[in-house]
Amino acid sequence: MSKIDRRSFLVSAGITPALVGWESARRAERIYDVSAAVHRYRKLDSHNHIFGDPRRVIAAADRLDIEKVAISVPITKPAEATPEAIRAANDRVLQAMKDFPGRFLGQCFVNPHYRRESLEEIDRCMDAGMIGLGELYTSVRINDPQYFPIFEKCIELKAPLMCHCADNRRDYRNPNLTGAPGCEDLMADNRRDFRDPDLPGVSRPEDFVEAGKRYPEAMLISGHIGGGGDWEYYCKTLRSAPTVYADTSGSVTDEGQVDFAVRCLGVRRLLFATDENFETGVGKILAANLTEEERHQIFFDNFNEILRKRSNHAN
Amino acid sequence: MRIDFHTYLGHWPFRQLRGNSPAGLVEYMGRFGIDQAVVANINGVFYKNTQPANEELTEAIQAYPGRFIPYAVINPSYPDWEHDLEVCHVKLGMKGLRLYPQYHDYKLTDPRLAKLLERARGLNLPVAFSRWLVDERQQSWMDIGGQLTLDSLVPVIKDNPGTFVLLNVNITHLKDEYLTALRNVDVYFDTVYASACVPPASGYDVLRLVKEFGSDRFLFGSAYPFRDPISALIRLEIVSELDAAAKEAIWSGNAQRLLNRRSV
Repeated sequence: MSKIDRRSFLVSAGITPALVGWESARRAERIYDVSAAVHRYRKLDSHNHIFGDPRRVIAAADRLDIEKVAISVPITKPAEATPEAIRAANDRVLQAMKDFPGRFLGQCFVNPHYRRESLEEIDRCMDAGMIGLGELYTSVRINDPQYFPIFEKCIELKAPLMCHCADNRRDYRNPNLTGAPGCEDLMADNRRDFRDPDLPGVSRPEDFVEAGKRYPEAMLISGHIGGGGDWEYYCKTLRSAPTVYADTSGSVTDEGQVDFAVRCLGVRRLLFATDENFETGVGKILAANLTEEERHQIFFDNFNEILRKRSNHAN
Repeated sequence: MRIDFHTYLGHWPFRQLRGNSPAGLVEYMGRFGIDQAVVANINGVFYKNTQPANEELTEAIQAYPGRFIPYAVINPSYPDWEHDLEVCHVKLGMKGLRLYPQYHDYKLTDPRLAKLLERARGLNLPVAFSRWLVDERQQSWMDIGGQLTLDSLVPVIKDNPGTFVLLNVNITHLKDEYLTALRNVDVYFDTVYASACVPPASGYDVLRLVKEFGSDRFLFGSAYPFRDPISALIRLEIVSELDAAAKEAIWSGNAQRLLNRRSV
């Protein structure tokens, strides 16, 4: 007796095209809709810059439905971070805020080495509508006493303070190493010197822990989990500083990075950011094993709660 | 149709990977509508004698016919690689090569590499180089793999006829001389570091490069499971400036053209 399988039966019954259509529709239903996911969440980018034309940042934010973008113009070479240069850099941010009302959240850059000028510049920028400080760079380490008056000012103003965090030692066994050899050519872009191993003021995760413990009432944000060294080391170190936030930006988008950060730090301490890595900044949050509520928190709510302290929040 | 030209199976010694089994990759492919994936075995990066890694890969993907396109890892500084290459090509059905000079520790000017490239060309097998496997800032002190730069790769590609694929490529600033050189050779770029948002902080401006080279030089790639699977998809989804034909070429058309070349 000849056997007839299900497929042959369906073909003989003339219903294969319908079946195929139904199966492909079911397959399409199961496939993750990337475009829909990108546009599903409100987003506040807590760490970005306008090194070039601000219109390009807005264009990128529009592609990814990012409502507001926190921007700064850090002067990355400590010797060049003079009060005059800093004022000019912050003026660029203020101008961009005027040119794109409601889209840019200004972050004031200072060099804590210049105490009086820094405090005056913070007042000037905050009075002009900036929302906090950022991206404070490598002039002074975040746990240095020169930062103390800056912290106290931010606490008084209820302003968040975001600082570049990096650790390029690669060999973490030796706490005295300053940077990894061979990292010099990572950035072809000469505007910045992210990986200069001789920079004295690079803040490591341990420095944020110390600063966070000294000023637990400060809203201290450690910049870019994926931008400045071993992210597992970074997250495990920051675990012991429960008041310190971490932003999710950086060009490293290793699979599992955000999941690991959630495990170490909890969802509440993580702030969505791109730091000019737009697609991956969004992609790494979407790819993490999070609930819908957790994704909303990271993309929007957590930073919005920080902004709410000074009534700078989005409605 | 979508073909991911850049995936891996196997173990990475310095960090836990997820999805690095055949079932894990198939799950990723199913979730994101990837029909086929070009895959190599990470273990081959660390074996001196890479051939067992190629055999492991063959066995691992057997349960998923038609889903994986295997690439062999060959180490030209280890004896008898010529035999391994032959076996990979004839018996194991490998469709191309992934070379890791930064791990197998030979120079790109090594005559043994030139010989391997000549053999690969004779067999019509594309040869892939990867700038790195993980970002240098993430590397363990035990990880010897540095990054391959265009400064070292362009002369090799220019001077050795054949088909090349550059993975994890960073072309933030492309020198004019490289632009000219790369236009005149058979070279493809994956999209792991492509960006439609200018100025990209790292990687390359895909719109500019498509303008320079044409869309037929780009291959959709995710670097999964090293990198998150969604960023790669977003990169192509949001590029409204590329027309449907260009996108289709990058999603799968260019890969199909490469894979359908008749091997010798």
